[in-house]
Amino acid sequence: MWTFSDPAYLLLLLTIPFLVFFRHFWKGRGSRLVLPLTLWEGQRFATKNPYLSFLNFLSASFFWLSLTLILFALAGPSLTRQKKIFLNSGTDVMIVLDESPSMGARDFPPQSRFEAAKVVIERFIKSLQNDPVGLVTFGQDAVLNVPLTTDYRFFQTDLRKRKLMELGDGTALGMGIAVAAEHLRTANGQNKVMIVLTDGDNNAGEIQPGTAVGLLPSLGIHYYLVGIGTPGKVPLEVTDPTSGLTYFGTLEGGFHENYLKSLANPPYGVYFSANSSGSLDSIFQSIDSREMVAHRVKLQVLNVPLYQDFVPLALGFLTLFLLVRKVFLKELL
Amino acid sequence: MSFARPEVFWALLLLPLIAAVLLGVYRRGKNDLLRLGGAWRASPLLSIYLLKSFFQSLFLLVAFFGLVVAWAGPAWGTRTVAENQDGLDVALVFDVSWSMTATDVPPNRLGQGIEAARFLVRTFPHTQFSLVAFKGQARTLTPLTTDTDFLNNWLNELSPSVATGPGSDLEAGLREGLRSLDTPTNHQKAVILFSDGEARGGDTVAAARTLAAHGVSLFAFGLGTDAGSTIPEGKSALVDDFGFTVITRRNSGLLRAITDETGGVYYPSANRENLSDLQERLVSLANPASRGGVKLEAVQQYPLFLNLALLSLFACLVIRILPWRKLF
Amino acid sequence: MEVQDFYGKIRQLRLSAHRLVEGLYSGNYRSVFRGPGLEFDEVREYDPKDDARFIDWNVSSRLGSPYTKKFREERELSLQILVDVSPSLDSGTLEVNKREVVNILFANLVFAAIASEDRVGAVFFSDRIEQWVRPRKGKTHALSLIHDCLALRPEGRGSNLALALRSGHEALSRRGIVVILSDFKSSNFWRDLSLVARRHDVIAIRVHDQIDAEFPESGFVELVDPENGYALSAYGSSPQFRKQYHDFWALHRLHWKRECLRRGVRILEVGTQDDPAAKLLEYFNRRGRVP
Repeated sequence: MWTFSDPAYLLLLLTIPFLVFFRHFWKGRGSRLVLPLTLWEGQRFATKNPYLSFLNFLSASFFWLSLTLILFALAGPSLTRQKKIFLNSGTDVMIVLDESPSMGARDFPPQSRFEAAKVVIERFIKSLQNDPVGLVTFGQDAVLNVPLTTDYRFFQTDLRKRKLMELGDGTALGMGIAVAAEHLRTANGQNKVMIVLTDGDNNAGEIQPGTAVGLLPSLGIHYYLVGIGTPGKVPLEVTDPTSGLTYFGTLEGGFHENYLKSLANPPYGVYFSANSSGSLDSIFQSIDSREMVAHRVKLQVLNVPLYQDFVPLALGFLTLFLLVRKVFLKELL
Repeated sequence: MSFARPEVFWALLLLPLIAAVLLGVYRRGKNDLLRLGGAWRASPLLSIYLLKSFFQSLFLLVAFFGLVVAWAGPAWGTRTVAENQDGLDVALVFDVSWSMTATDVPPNRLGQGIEAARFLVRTFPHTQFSLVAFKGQARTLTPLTTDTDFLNNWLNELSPSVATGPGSDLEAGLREGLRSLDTPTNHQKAVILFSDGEARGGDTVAAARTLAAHGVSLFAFGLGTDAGSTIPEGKSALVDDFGFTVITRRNSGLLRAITDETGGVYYPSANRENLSDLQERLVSLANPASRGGVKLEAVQQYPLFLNLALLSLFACLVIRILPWRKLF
Repeated sequence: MEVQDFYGKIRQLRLSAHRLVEGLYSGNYRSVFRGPGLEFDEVREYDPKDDARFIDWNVSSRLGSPYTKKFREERELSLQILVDVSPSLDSGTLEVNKREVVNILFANLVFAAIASEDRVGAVFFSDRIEQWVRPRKGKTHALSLIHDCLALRPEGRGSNLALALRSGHEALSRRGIVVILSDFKSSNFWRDLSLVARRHDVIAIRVHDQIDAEFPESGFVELVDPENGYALSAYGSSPQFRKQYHDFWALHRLHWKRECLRRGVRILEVGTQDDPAAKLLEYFNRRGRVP
């Protein structure tokens, strides 16, 4: 949106037509040589020089353009933008993502559990505005990839880089929860949430999921266990990042829903079952409505002054005016 | 008095050029005038012509001058501006080019910087920090976060292998630092640069100007010595393509110039004293109330020069429009 | 004009007029102008050598023997000078402007007329009759006329030659000489000129400057006509423009020459680069015939 800090100068623009009149059309104007050109009450000498007349007109307009630009610059033009400023810190959300091989099962054709999870996480992130979000992934080990941050672009870039089995072929669910809890603990937010996306099971790591989950209420962390998967036989496809080999197969019994249900502890911890990508969406919506606090927002007006673009233009036109008039046309007076 | 774009003053070279052109035009015009107007009134013709030409030219040159100076962005004097930001976000930008492994300061240049950064992270536990490293290209290692552990882990990992590309693109580092500070909060923003100032390629000053335009203060630690040192490579020193041992020197001049653009401070070393000073400054940045809730801003003076140009052009017009002595 | 300057100028003009008068006295002035015609002087006895056409039958019958008419040339001429004092004459590209040339020509003609004991009068015109002086004889009158010419500051802005011709025509009762001193940048006067030329001897002296023919190669300048404020952008550096200018005025000049000659008006062109007195002298020496 355009604004002018000193719009009074724009009023001066109204004088320009008058100045143009006096300079180009006033009958009494000076800088003209007196020479007989007509027969009294008879013929008048007239000429047609389209090219030169055009140059005349063009160079004159350069002058007026330059003047107009100076007035514009003086009027203090600036582009204003409104920026939303958040006045309170939001909810800290730590996302814990299972990268074990079983997550490669294609329960949500054509996507795997892992791909579906990533898609829905990205959608969730897009709805956030000032809530710090972090990413912990686990396989054989658990690692914090993205610390709690509002730099959503960084989070998104990192999330897209995550691959199945990059942390080994185990499932250290307990470690994942523990690492996430540790980094949530030191955060400043008024509301702390952990969302775990897994197909259940724990076969690695020193900490049992039950233990890890048990600590969460005392730390003030609400947790959501999202069980991704369907029971029964499911086709599996996973590529080992270290060896580059792709495994194809069938997974059976790779979804431990009951185990995950046992880790729930309402009202601190809730279990959701996600057996389709549609249900994943609604789960996140539900989390959103339960946890996300209202934001106090202020609109800040940013001003980008533009005068510096007008000035060199004015200078350029003035130079052109001089050049064309005095040098090309060889103006005399 | 300061100028935002002092390189614009080269355009003042146009002035004598234009004056020369106008003089040439005047001389040629004299002849034409006599041929058209007649020698019988040479005296009044020429005297009016001289006066009109002189004053029109004069005012034109003044207008040019005014426009050029206005373009250069002059500013002097200060005025107070209400401060409406509190809280602080800091980007730690590390130069991880090979010259930073020089040992002219113990344990090496990079190491000294890391120690200083650790101190800052420790001293400001509730302030968000981001970590950017650059060599030929810049990369955000940590986004803005208060997670001290994560930050410290990365600080431990800092080395030339953390970034890619040959050379030392300071401009890219600063711009990435700025990008990492883009949050929807109203916090004061600062970039702390750890570098020896040996930039290769890119327009570092322009990047500093962009930071200033966004209201970001730039503080820089100049790591290394002016005398310079060799760069260790294995057990010996790094040698260039011609077989000469590479000497790397700290470029205080550049670092000082860029911190000046933003109103920040250049520290020649990361010692206790400088770190305390920086700490105080960051504290006052984070709490504007400690400064009375206002900050000082240089006043832009370009309108003065634009008005000068405007009036000069108007005078030019008037001289041209008014007929004199019934001649022209 | 200062009295000193005035008499100084007169002295100058008189000197040049003298040369002219000498030339004129050798009879060429008279040879140019036929005068109003032969006037009946007296009768004398018929001589067999005389032309039989001129026998006065009335007197012859009364006196009983043949008598023939004797004629003499009209001794008295009336010279009426129409002087254009419009602003278009205030231009010139050399050391003199057209107005000054007109002044010199006027003074020379006045002195020549007075020296021949002819009556001389003037009509000073712009877009109106600025001043009108009836033909008279005498040196005092001559000086007064020349003074009027030099001192006149026209009020009008225009060249109404038609009006001047009509006034001149009325002022001269008998047949006389009418000299027009102008740059002829006028129109719609040919009919009035025809009427005058039928009754009187007319010399049209066109005063010109080289700018009335060619536009010099110059830079771009805005021009304005002194008589009607008509403005034009002149691109002197353009050959096309100069050609258009040349063609316009060349056409006008040709038209003027042709129309004058058609009406039996003698023409003379005097430029700002010429010596006006010398030109007049040369003209009369050639008996008014243009080479």
